Formats: sequence, structure tokens, C-alpha cells
Amino acid sequence: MIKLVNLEKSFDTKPSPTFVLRRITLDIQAGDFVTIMGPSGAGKSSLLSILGMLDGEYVGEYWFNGQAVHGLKPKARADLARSSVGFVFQQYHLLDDLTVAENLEVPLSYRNLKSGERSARVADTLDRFRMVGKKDLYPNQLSGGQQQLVGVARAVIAAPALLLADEPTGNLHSEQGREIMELFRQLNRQGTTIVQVTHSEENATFGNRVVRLKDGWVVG
Amino acid sequence: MSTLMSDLGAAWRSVRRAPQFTAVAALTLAIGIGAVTTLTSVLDMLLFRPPVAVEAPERVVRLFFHHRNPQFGEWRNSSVSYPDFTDLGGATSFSSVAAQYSGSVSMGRGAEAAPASLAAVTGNYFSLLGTSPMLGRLLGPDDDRLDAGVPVAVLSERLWRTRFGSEPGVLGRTLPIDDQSYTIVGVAPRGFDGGEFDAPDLWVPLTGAAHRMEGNEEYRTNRGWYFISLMARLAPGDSLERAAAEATGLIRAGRSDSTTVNGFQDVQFGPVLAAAGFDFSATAALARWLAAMSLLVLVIACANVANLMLARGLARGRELAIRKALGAGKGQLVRQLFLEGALVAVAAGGLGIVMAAWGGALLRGYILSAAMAERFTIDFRVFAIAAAATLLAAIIASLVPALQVTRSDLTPVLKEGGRGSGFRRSRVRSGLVVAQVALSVLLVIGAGLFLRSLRNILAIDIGYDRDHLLMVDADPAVAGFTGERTGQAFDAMVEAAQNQPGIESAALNYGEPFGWSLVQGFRIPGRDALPKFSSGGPYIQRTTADYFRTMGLAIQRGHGFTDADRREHPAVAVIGATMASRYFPGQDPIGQCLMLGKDARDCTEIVGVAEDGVRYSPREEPQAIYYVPLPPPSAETRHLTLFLRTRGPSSEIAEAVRSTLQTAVPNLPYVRVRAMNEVLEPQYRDFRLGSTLFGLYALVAVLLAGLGLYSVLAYAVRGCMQELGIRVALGAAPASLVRMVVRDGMQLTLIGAGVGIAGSLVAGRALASLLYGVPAWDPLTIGVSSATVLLATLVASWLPARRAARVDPMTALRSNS
Repeated sequence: MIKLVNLEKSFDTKPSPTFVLRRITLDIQAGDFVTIMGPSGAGKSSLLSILGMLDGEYVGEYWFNGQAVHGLKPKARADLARSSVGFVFQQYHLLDDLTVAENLEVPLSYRNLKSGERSARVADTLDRFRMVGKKDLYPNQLSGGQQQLVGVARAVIAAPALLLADEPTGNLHSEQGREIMELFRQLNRQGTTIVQVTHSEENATFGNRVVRLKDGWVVG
Repeated sequence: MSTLMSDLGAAWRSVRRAPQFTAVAALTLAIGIGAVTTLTSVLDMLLFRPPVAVEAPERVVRLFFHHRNPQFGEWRNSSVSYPDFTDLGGATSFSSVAAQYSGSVSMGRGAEAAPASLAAVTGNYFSLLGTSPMLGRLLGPDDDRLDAGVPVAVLSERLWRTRFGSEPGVLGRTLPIDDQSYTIVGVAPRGFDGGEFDAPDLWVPLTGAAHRMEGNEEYRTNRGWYFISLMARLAPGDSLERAAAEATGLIRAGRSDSTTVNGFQDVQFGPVLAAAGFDFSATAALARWLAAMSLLVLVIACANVANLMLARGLARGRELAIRKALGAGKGQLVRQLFLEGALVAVAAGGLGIVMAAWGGALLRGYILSAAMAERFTIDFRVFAIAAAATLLAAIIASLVPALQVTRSDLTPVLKEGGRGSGFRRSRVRSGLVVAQVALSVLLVIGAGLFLRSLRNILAIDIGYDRDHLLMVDADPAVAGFTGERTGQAFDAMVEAAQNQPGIESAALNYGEPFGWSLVQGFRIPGRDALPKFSSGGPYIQRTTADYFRTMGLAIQRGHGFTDADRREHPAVAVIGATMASRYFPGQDPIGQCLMLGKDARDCTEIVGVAEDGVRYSPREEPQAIYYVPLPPPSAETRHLTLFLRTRGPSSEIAEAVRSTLQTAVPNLPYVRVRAMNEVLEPQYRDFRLGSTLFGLYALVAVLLAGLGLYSVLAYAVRGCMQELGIRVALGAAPASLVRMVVRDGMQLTLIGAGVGIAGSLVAGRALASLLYGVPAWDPLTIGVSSATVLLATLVASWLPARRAARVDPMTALRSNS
């Protein structure tokens, strides 16, 4: 599904460029549950941003389902990301002024879906994640775990082929974190390819593969 | 006290830390405060400021005479006859009644002649007002007698200063005015104008002046000659109601035998300030409207700054939350924020006074008379107005947002990763933007209505060629020309004018458009009844051969007069087109007979029909006007007006023509030469003023509203960068982010426009009397005005929207905001 070939990212600094990612070559198959680990500053979040097609400033090759992402113009890249990628954030990043149901609908509003279909998908997702009773609550009325649950639901409501999670349990206590990771495992079993960034060795056990980064290099 | 000083110090430090914000906020408020201070001080001078050197002005009244008549409707005028004045001498509710009339005169003769404005007053005028002289003495009853000897004059301080260099030795000097010499006996106090809108240059006794004007004392008994206005001081303890009732009874009794009652109803009073009375109600009404509009501009400016203060306050949520956690009460937080805003408002107030002093001079010169504008000073009244405006600004612009910010729950701000409360969805912020847009729409609609009124009235065809016409007023009789020699004097002026480069033709007329005209009825043989015009008449003009060509009035049928007509004076007439269509519908008026005057025996034959020319106002009802050849000079026709047709724009050669004519005849009094556009200008003045000032205010309001909306959206975009980043991460295209921000702004704008339109429909009823040819609810004006404001706010929304579209999701998601 994903093929990275000699991918590098750097910032122009003096006297010499600062590299964030060094010659990353990586294959991810459809259905994989990959964990990216490494110390702070290793380049984990940067790699996730590139995989999520949020960042186009790099050199090297990035193939997604046979398509050369590295050759796409920003608009085309954004279109591909919209249709294929879902994001889960450490800080949930829910929209405070919207209810749970409205937050779920946001990604659907950026796809060409009719209002009726959007409503139907929101209802399905609320049901699937057992959040129907909370659909009219605002994020500040939910616990951290519940907010992240909404974040995950929002990430998958558009049925992306690839789910990216950046420290998804970083702001949760262990019980809540475990629940989220179980959910990821379930989604992966249902066919969603997942790439997560985490410091937690326990979280890494939920995946089937670990990629370790250090100073921008893949070291394991 | 020490707490207040400490808070002031903290406020000062906070304001200094944000110099750009402070400068923008202060300037914005200063515009509003300056506008309010300028217009309110103008209103104060017109309507409220007591006149200089008038004792107990609240006890002095101007008399107005209310009439109702089936033909002319209802009206009030201040002019009455001398017998009416003497009738009021018996009133016990007045301690004194004075009469006056004013006019333009010539000081000096020949090349040294200069124009002056004169007030002829009865001997008790100054004592009624309780005025003391600045130099010498003022007029008294002994001066106001026919046998008083050499006539005397009192100068205004302005005339004394400009013409006599404030010389104390001016007393006893002789001053030639028209055909009479006056001895200067005193100087009125500086700034004294008797409450008049246009302060006179000098005062003379009425009796002598009226006698010289008429050549006899008929004015004392002629109840049909309305030429004076009256002023009275209420007797101690007497009420306005009793005085009005008594005066009404006396006037009614005096006029009971007269045929010139004209539907008199009652006597009404106006204040001693003429501008506040019925005669100047249009100017005063406009000034009131402009002051009200300036208040709207201030409110818009305050709303603008309030939103900025609100945004700034919320952005400082963490600081305020920490202060609260350290023990600050809500009142202390409110005081701190209010003091910061108040400091900005005080700076704005100072700047606003400077704007009122400098920038307001132009405005004052436009609305007030020259003397009044000259008298304006920045005194405690102006400071008081500016202080009130500043206080209002401080309350709206800083207290309201201070209360709102401290009402928000600041606790989540202290939590890690938490963001401040939603400025974007704040009802207060939305309300302030809606208010700004609504008020802007209101002002733009007002400006549009005035502009259309001005356009409508300028489009009225007055008949004359207004751009190529000069009107000359001269009185050779003052220089000693009488009888036939008057005609020779005018002929000399005509010849001198015709030899002037740039003059095409010249004509003399007895009567003056926009000035005065005579009524002379006629009979048409075989007709029992003739059409009546609501405008009165028919009006007669006596004129020379070149009149129609000079004035630009086309002869539509038949022909005009010839030079021979003036010498031989045949019984011929040219009638106006309206008169032709109403008196001779479906017929050819050429050759028809008019019997001029009650006792006419001979026929005056109609030889031509001329295009209609306006008689007194572009807005007048249809008029019945006819022309006959000017007869040989006589005492009756000494008051001729000379009209000149110019090749180029008449205003460009007016002064050159004046200089030529001043010396064309020896010893002439001041010759007044005016371009027709100058003569017309008072007709358009209020519309021009309204459209200019409303337009200016509207422009400022739209700019402020646009700036306000831009600032608010820019703040909002900056405040929700993370949200925008999230949306991009969730798949939002740049265009959808632009749409989101613009939609946010335009939703508020549309609501504001709706409120503004509704407001204009309500306010329009009061404005209707000031408009011409356009209803206050005109859909075209409302539509275009609203669209203009919407377009401006669309641009204001577009700029921050573009910024939103360029958000880098990675930067936004990493930010802590």
C-alpha cells in the first residue's frame, strides 16, 4: 500500500541543513498495524505527517497504492489524502463549538456527500462507537477518554484506507488508553491499515510491526 | 485611592506594551469623538448658546404670525406691517416690543464702495436686549425720530475692527451708506448679533431708514406692507401663554378692518436665537440630523474598539485567570480592563478636540454664518461635549468588553493544552459587528437619499442658462440719479457691460428671479372667470428687448420685444408657456387681448410665448408670468436689475464686470454682481450640505465597520488557527476555509444590513421633510446602499479569509493556541 524510497526531510539552517528524516525506505502493506517508535526528536511525527500527505516538503519517493504522491501538486495531494487518510491526534483536536455529532460530520462535509447520507453515516458511527447518548454533548462535557473516542470515530467515519494515530493515548490514563488500543485492533481486524506513533511499549504490542527511528534514520 | 493609582499604573503599562493596538483604537475613537464634538458644538451655537450681551435671553421672544388660507394653506412668517407693530404697543404682557428690518447696503461710493449688511431697528432695540456698548453709546428712542437730525449708526465690533482698525477715534466720524451719511456714535460688544443668524455690520434707526427707503411715511399706516420683524421682552411674572393670547387679540383687532388679513390665526413665539425659530427651521433641522448622525459614527467607532478590546481581553485569558487564581475579585479585573480602555478613550478625546478645532472649521463655515463661525472658540462648552463623548466611548468601548471577558469561565485556560473561550462565537462580538453594520447601512442610506434629492433638484430645468448669466444689482438713485437720468445711468451700465470682453448681451428687468416680483391681474375680454394658480399671481415682469435671449428663455411662438418697444412702449406682452396653456388651452394665444389692471380700457396684445423661467424657487408650483416692455424710467422703476449673458462661465468674469460697472457711472454705491449659480446656491445649500456630510459620515462609518469586521475576523482566524489546521487535516480544501470565514462575516453583515434597513424605514419618516423627489423608503437607494456596505464588508472578510486558506496544518496543530 505504502512505499517510501529514500525519503528525506531537512530544514535550511546554517552552516549546514538540519535533517529530520534520513533516507527512509519503508514498505507498509494493506492491513498492517505498524508502530513507529523512537526518542523525542527522532522524526516520528514528521514521518506521520508525510505519510498523511499533510507535508509535501521532502525529497525521495512516496508511493501510495501505486500512485506517486511525491509527484502530485498540493491540491491533488490534498484530494488523495481526503479520500484515503484519517488522523487521530494526541490532543484529540475536537472542535469545541460543535457537538459530538457535529464533530463527526465535519470530515463528511468536505466530501461530496448529500446531507441525508452524511446524517446516516453519523448515526451509524455513533451507534458503532456506542456514543448515541452523547451525541448532543460538547467536548468540554466529555472525559479525556470519551474525547479521544470521538476523535477516533471522526477519523474513521469516512472509511479511510489508512488510519494514522499520533500518540493516541498520550493524554489518557492507562485504562482509557487500553480501550482505545483495543478499538484500533478491532478496526485493523476489519481491514483498516493503521500506523501509530507512540512511546508506549504496551501500545506497540497491539500492532504487528515496529519501526524504530533515531535521529531521522530507521534503525529497526 | 492608592489602589486606584496602582490600577492606573498597571493600565498605563499595559497600554504602553501594545502601542499599535493603542494607536489604532485611539484614532478610531478620535474620529467619532471629533465628529460628535464638531457637530454638537455647531448645534449648540445655532440653538442653545445664549447670544452675546443679551440680558436674560430666555425672556426675549421673536414673534411669528400663523396664517391659514384655503388658497395657500398654512404658514408662519415673521414679517408684519408697521401698524401691526404699533398695535402691540398696548400689550401689558410685554415690557418692550422692538421692530427691525435688515438689508444689504453700500458703504461709500464709486471705486471705494463696499457691501455691508444693515439692521434698521427701533430706538428701544438695544435697551430691550439689555446690551451695553463696547465704545460710545447705542441707539436710543431719541435717535429713532424723523426730526432726530443727522442720522446715527452703531458699528458691529467686526466692522470696527476690519474697516476702522479698532480705532477709538471712530466716534463722530461720518459713514456714507447708500445715499445718506451717518454719524458713528458707538460700537456694539464683540460677538453681539442680537441672536440673528447673519450678524449685521451696523445698526441704524428704523424710522429714518424706512422714510428714506419709501420717500414718505406711508409705511406707518400701510397694513399691506410687511417689511419688519418683531422682538419682545416678557414683562416680569408674565407667561408665554398669556403674552401670546394678548398679542393675538391685539393683532386681530388691529387687522379687523383691513382687507389684507390673509387668514391670520394667532401669534406664536420663537426663541431669541433666530436659527431655532421657524425661519431657519430647515437649517436647524439639518444640523440636528447631522449631530445625530455624528453620534452614530461615534457609536460605530466605539463598537469597533469594543470588539478589539474584547478580543484582546480574551487573548489575555491566561493572565486574567492567574490573577483570579491569586485572589483578584471580578470587580478588580473589570476595573483594570476598564481603566486601560478609559486611558485610550481619554487620549482619543484629546485628539478628538484637536480634530474638532482644525477639521471642524471647514464644517462650521459651511453650516454657520461667517460671523458665527468666526465667533466659535474651544471653550468649556466644547470641552464638556468632548468629555461627554469620551465618557460614552469609554463605557461602550471598554466597560462592556471588560464585563464580558470577566464573565467568561477562565478556569479551562489554566489547564494544559486548553484554549481560551470561543471569541469566534461570542454573542457580544456578534452583536457589536451587527450594530456597526446596521448603523453604517443607516448612514449610507441617508447619504444616498440626500444625493438623490440633490440630483433631483439640480435636474430641475429653471429655464435660464444658469452657467452663463450674471445678475447685477445697482441703485443709481443713491448717486443722485432720478427720473429720466436713472434710465441714462442704467443705459451707461448696459453699454459698459456690453463692451466688456466675454459679455454677449445685456438686458434690464423690473423684478428679480429668486428675489422679488410684482403681481398685476388682468381681464380677458369675453371671459368671466380665469384660472387660479396656487402660487398666486399673475406676475408681471417689465423688461427690455434682449431679456429673453440674455436669460436663455426660448421664444416658442410669435416674437419677443424690440428696442423700439422700449421707446414707443406699445401695448404688447409676451406670456410664459404655462400661462399660455392654462389661460388659452387648445388656442393660439398670439393676438389675444389682455386688459391689464382693474381699470384698463386698452388691450395689451399678446405677441409671443416664452419658455417658462423659475420665479422664486426651482421647487415652485407652476407660475403665471407675463412680460411687458420696460417703460421709461420713473421713481417706480428705479429698482432695475441688469442681466448679462456671458460667453464663458459667468463666475469667472463676475469680479471684472463688477469693477467695470462700479465706475461706469460716477459715485455709484456698491454694485453687486452675482453669477446665477451663486444666486441659486441657497436653494441647493441644505441638500448639498446633507449629501456631503451624510456622504462623509457614511464613508467613515463604512470604513470603520469594514475595519471592525476585518479586525474581528483577523483576530478570530488567528485565534482558531488550530481549528483551521484540524479542518485541513480532516480534508478541508482552502476554498472551504475561505467560504467558512467569509460566511461567518457575511452572516453578521446580512443581519446588520437587515436591522439597518428596518431602522432607515423608521427614521426615514422624520427625514422625509428634508428630501426632494425621493421617498425616504426608496427601494433603489436602499438596495444600492445596502449592496455597497455588503461589498465593503465582503472585502473586509476576504482578507482574513485568505490568511485562513494559507494555514499550514502542521504549524497550526503544533501550536498551543
